[in-house]
Amino acid sequence: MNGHGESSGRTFVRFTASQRVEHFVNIFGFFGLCLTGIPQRFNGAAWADGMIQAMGGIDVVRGMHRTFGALLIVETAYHFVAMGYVLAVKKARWSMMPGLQDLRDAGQMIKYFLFLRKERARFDRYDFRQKVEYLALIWGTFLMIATGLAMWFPIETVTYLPGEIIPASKAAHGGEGLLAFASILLWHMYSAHLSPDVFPFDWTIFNGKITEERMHHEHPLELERLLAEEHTKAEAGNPTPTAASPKPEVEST
Amino acid sequence: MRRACLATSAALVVLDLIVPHSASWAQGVPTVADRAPSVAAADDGGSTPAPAGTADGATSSRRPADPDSPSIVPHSLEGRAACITCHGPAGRRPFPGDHLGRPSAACLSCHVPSQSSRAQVANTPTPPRVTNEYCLACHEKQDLKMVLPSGQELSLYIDKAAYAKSMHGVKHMSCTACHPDNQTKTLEASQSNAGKPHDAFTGNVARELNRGIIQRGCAKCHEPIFKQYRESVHGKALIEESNLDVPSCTDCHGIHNIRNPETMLFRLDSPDTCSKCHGDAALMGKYNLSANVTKSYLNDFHGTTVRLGRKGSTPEIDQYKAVCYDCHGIHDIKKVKDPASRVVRENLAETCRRCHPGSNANFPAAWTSHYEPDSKRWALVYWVNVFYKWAIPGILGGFVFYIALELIHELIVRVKRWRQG
Repeated sequence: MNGHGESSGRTFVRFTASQRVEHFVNIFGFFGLCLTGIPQRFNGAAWADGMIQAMGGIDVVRGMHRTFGALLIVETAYHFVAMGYVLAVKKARWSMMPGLQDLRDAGQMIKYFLFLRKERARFDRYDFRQKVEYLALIWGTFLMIATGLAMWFPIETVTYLPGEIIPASKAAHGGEGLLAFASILLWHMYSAHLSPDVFPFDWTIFNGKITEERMHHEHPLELERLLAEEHTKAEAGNPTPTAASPKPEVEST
Repeated sequence: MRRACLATSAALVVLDLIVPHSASWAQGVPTVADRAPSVAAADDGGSTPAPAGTADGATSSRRPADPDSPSIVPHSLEGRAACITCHGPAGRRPFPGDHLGRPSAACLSCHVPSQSSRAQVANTPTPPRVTNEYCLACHEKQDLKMVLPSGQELSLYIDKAAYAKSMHGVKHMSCTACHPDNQTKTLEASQSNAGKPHDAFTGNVARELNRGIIQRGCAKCHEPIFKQYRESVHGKALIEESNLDVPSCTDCHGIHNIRNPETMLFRLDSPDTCSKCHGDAALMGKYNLSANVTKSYLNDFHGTTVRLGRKGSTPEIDQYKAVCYDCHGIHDIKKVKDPASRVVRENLAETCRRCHPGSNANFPAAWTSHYEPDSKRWALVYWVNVFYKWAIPGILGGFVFYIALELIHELIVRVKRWRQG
C-alpha cells in the first residue's frame, strides 16, 4: 500500500485487553461528558438550550455530566494503578515519556513533508503525535477533575482555597473542555482515521493487533528491538520463538 | 413597558382625578378615596339589593372609625335643581371646603342618593349595588377604550378570565375593593364631564396616581408589607422623594393579573421583572447603576439554572436557585452599600449561608458580584479566560498546520506516482 516493508502476514500485539477496555471506557466517558458539557458551556444558544431540554432539563444534564465525570475519575485512577504496576513491577520501559528526540522527530517529519528529507523520522513505540495526545489527555483530565470537583463541592473547596477559585474553575473547565473536544475532533480523528497511514480506521486499539508492515513503517525502532530480542532468545536455546509476545509497556489509553 | 404599566394603573383611578391632586396623598390626609371603602363594604353585604339607607347603616357599623364617609343623599332628587343650589358654598347645607372646584356633575359618583330617587336622576338604569358582573358588563369588551386629551388611547379592557385566576380573583374580591364606587365612573359619566378630569391624565400625573393608589389601595390590606416597602430603597424614593422612576406594587405584581408570588413560576420569572428597569441602560445610567446585572446574573450558576429551569416542562422541580430577591431582599430591598443591605460586603457571607449552610467567609468571592472579571477584580478568572482565548486557537492551529503539511505532501507524492504511471 505505501511501499514500505514486505508483506509477512505477521502481526504483533500492541495493546493488552486491559488497555483496550480502558480506551473503550474513555470513549464512552469522554463523549458523554462532551454531550452533556458542551451545551452547558454554550447555554443561551438555541441549539444548546434545545439539547439540554431534550436530555431532560438542566438538573438531569448536570447529573449525567457528574456521572460520566465520576466514571472517568475511576478510569483515571485505574490507569495510574495499572501503569504503576507495569512500570514498577514489570520494569517496563517509559516509552510514553517525552524527550528531546521527540522534538527532533517532529522537525524531521516537517522536513520530510517539505521534501527537504528523503526518509520519515524513525519512531519507537510511540511517536511524538501520540505522546502529545497522551500528555494532553493526562493534563486535561487532571485539570478537568480538579475544576469539576471544585464546582461540584464549592463549600468544601473554599474551606481551603480563596472563593475566586470557583469562577476560575468554571472558566478553566469550559476552556479546557472545549480545547479537549476540538483536539480530539482534529488530532485524534486525524491520527486514528484520516492519516494516510491508517485511513480509514485504525483497528489496533480495538483488536490490539498491528501488522509487521505498519510496525516497519510507523514504529521501526520498536520493531527492530522486538526482532533483536527474539533473536537473542532464539540463540539462548528457545526452539520456538513466539511471534506475538506482548511486551509490557506504558500505554496510552 | 413600565410606562404602560403605570398608565394602566392610573386607569384604575380615573375618577381620582376629580380630587384635586395635592401632597395630601403622601401625607395620608383622608380624601374621598380614603373614605371610599364604605361603599365597597356595602357591596360585600347581602345578596339582595340593599336600599341605600340600609347600606349606610351597614357601612357605619363596619367602619365606625371613618366619620368622613361620603354621605348618602337622604332625600329624593325628584324635582330638585342642581345639587349646588342647596349644597354650594352659599347654600343651605354647604359641602365641605375641600370640595371646592369639583365639577358638580361628579357629586353622584361619590354620594349615593336614596334608592327611590336615583333612577329618576339618571336616565340609564342604575343597578342597586355594584357587582363585578356589573363592571365587567362593559369592561370585558376588548375594544373598550378612551382617548385621552394627549391623544393616547387608554384601553379600559379587563381580561375577565385572567382576573378570575389572579390572586384577588380566586378570593372573589370585588372590583370595588380596590376601586371604591366613588372612585370609578362609567364611561358615560366621564364623558358627561366633558373630559375635564382627564386633562390631568398625562405622564407624571399617571405616576402620581400610581403612588397614591398603592398607599390607599394595596396598603389597606397589605399594611405590613407596605411598611417594609416604605423603608426600602424603592419605597423611600417614591414616597419621600416623589421619585417616579422606582417601582411600586403594581410594577412587579401586576394589576388585574396578580400572580401568587409563592409559586415556582413567579420565582423563575422574577429576574425578568427586575430587569424591566435594571436592564434599562438609560434609566440605570441616571443613578449610576449597571444595566448589565441581569447579564452577569444569567452568566453565573444561579442565573443559568433559573433560566434553563424556566424553559423546562416541569419548572416545579427543585429549582430553588437564588433569584435577585433572595440576595437583595424583596419589599425591604436596600441600596447595595447600605449597612443594612443583605449584600453589602459585611453581610454577604451571612446571606450566602441562608442557602449554603456551612460556607465560610471565602465563599462570597465564588460569585463575581455582577462584575465582569478584569485584571483587577477576579483577576484569576480573567487570566484563565485570556489563556484559553489564545491557547485554543494556538494549539488547534498547530495541529492544523501539521495535518495540512502531511496531507499536501501525500497529495504531491500520489500525483507524482500517478503521472509516472
